[in-house]
Amino acid sequence: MMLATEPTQVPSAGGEQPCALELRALSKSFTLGSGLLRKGRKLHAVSEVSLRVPRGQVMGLVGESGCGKSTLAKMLLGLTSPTAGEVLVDGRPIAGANQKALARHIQPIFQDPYSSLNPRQRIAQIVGLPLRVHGIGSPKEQAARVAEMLDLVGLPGRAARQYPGQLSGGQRQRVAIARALIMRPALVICDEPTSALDVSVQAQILNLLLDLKEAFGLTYLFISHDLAVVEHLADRLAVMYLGRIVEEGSREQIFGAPRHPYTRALLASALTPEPGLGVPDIGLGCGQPDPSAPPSGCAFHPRCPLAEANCERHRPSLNDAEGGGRVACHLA
Amino acid sequence: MNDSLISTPGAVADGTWPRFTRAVLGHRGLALGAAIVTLLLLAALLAPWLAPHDPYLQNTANRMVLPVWHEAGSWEHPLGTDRLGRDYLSRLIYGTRISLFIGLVAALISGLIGSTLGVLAGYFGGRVDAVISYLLTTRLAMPVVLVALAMASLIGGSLITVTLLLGLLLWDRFAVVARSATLQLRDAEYVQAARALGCPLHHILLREVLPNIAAALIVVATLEVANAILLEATLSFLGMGVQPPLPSWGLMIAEGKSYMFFQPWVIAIPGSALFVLVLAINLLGDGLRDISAPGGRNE
Amino acid sequence: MSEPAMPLLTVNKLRVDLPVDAGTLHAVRGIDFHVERGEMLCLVGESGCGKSMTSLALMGLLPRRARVTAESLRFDGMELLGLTERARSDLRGARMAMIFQEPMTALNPAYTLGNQLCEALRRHRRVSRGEARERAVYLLERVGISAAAERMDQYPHQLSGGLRQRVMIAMALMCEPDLIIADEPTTALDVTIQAQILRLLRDLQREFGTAVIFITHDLGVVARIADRVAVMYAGEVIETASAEALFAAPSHPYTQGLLNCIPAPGKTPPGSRLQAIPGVVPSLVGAVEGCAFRNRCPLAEAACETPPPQTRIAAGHVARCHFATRLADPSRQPQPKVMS
Repeated sequence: MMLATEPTQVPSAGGEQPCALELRALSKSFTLGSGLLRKGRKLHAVSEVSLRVPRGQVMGLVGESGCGKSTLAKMLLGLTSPTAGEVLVDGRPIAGANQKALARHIQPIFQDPYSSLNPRQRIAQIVGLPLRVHGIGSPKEQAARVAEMLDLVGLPGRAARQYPGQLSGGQRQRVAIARALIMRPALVICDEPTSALDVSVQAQILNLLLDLKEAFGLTYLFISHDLAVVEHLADRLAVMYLGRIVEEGSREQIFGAPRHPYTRALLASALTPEPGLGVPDIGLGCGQPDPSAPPSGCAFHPRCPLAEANCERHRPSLNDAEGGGRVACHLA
Repeated sequence: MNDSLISTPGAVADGTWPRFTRAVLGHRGLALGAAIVTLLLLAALLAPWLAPHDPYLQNTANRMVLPVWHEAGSWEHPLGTDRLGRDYLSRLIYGTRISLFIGLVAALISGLIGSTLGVLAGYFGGRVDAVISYLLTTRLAMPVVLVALAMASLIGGSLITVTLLLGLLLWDRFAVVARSATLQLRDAEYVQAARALGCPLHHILLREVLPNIAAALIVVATLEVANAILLEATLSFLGMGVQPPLPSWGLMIAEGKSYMFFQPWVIAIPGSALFVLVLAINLLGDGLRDISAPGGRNE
Repeated sequence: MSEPAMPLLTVNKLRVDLPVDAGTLHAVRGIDFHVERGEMLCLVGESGCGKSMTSLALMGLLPRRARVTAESLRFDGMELLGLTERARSDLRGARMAMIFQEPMTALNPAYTLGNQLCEALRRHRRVSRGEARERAVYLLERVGISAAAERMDQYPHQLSGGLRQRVMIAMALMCEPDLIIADEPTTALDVTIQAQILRLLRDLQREFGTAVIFITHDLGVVARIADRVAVMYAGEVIETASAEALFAAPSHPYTQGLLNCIPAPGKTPPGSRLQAIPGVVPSLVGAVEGCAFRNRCPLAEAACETPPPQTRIAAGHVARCHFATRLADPSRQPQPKVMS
């Protein structure tokens, strides 16, 4: 299970074990509205994102719609190629590797269990597809592994013969998890895996993800906008705003002492079920940013309650912060 | 997380046949269309056993015998005979073969061309889409009847020529529908998941995309079958289609047109047959569209 | 006219039945609740519990094939059942307004905001164009939209999702309705925008004295904005209480389960197992016997095969469960059977 290309060099210093996943200044831009005759505008969906995910950990990636987290996930899965920067899996760049080799290391779990399963295929076909595509085992062995996998994710054996339309949302998400894990990848990209589910089912799926992580020693990149879920699951957290990471740190750092004003606003706007607290005033103004025309300087400055003149002119870089973690704010 | 109770899953999308059958029988137009098409298909297949006479056998002593509902008619020739004394019913039954053959084969050819182009354009987008869209616009700018007439008169009309010509001309709707349906599916998460697995392209297009746009394409196909049948009749009527003595319905109308003021049944019979077949196919197509639409049909 | 003490809206044994392929879907199964003047009632439940059907039935916006029956639907002393379509539509917009989840589909993309706002008022009240425009600008300013007068000439697609939902709120307030039904109005929005919209809705509701039925699946939202809460499950209201009482002493196993299965910072240790509710919602096609929750309930006993009684826990706190009184009292909590 090696990627096609050999490691170019050992990342970071000093004989450290390579991370399960490392992003180096990863960027992706799209051209909007270009036609035969006109040149479109550039949309920087992801800009210079650097991130290290240690093996066996859950890295939470938080941000609002349009912050680039889904584009980031697509680049990691090899579904779209970065404009600049590189992705390293187990210390090896994925740029030259073929999709099949990559697929054995990274698998996705998507948000919407209604669109992530082909409605015309039976569950056994869907879950067994990775084995067939990669030519692993005889048809008999494949069937046995599918049955074992369905059992692991808590689906009854009869589900194998059913179609996605006959299953509930939670069951479908279990199928998606079984498909992602049947080849035992080391790294799973969970793209909002519970946000389309009912709360009572969400807990079942989160428990399952935690159990499977223990059982297989998985590393998760967990993308979500639900801070309560991320706080429950993640060891480390990265907060994105308009394509850039604005703060990164351990769970305790982010939730205990957030340093970026955007992180603080996000935490304040998470509504925990505690009556009597009312809805907090997060003081962000009512403008929503346009990703295709990001503000100058610090992209957050038009909404930031602490913004100064400097914030408008210079973009803060993501620097190591006191007490661990990184933050991109002039005032932190 | 809306209440999703109103929209019950589409009958076909569920993949269960009993549901599908129930949906077909529950839709009056669809059931009627399917019944007539099935009957005519059977007539075409069983023509040698159903037809009372040889459709090519001429009998100059028995020319223009009246159908059975006229006083002079007889059960020997229930629909009478034509100007060469050939049994009209037998020719009509054999004509079903011609119409259905041309309709089905032409729709098959155009379906293959159009779906392939449409799926490729929708899936790849960008330059591929631009080129295919250009082809499509070019094709749409050509008047089908005129081009077919011109080509047929150049090559010479025959069953095969007409079938191929129509097959090569009628792919536009397939391409449009396949393209837009694929465009919607391209970003579906199950297609993304298959891509992330490293599935080969043919797997993604044939196994993940095609089965999910098939319902839309089948609807187009039924309408194109009807279209091709009508165009064949037009070309044959104009003398550039199927050549005598083959019993094409269009040709039968053409052959009868000099008698139509005195013996209107000569063109009324093949005309009605054409009308019924095309109507039935259109009912079938509309019905299929209704039951495969998400959320079921409107009542 | 009605007495001031009378609730604004009283719903009695409301049922909504929908014909589907496999039979009849009983989406709402005989629910009772009321809304006081000027209060925020949250209807909370998961997908398919009938909360949206209930709101559409109240507005008279259900598809024709849906069958709505009730003992009574009393709005400000007026019986809604049996009103003509014309009378219902006069009521809509003028005295009852609705805010939908997706503002982009609720606003007509072909008209300017000003057009749509003014039309909402002029359809129901005799006001001049100028007066309508004045009120529209005033309300746009009130919902926090800057440069309101210029915004009036913009089209919906020129606004962000958060701004569109603000416009929807302004539109709902145009005729000063007595009741606003908001169906998951913040679900499609980002969390920071959601907090702003909720705050706005809560402030305006208090200021204008409008009653709001707020439909949501998010207990966090419920806790922060509700005066009273009605929890729905499988087409029934299974618990009604004031927000404080509901979160302090949830008295239905489903409500308790819902509260336990969201990770709560400080209460559930990170990475620990959450208390999930096992199983899935029963099908509402055909008859449902007894308590609809019993196949997922940790306390289910033989008694649960009979319909559970409406048990009064405290003033204004009612739960539909055989064990509600025991559940309400934390010292007498029944021990749930061990679940896998």
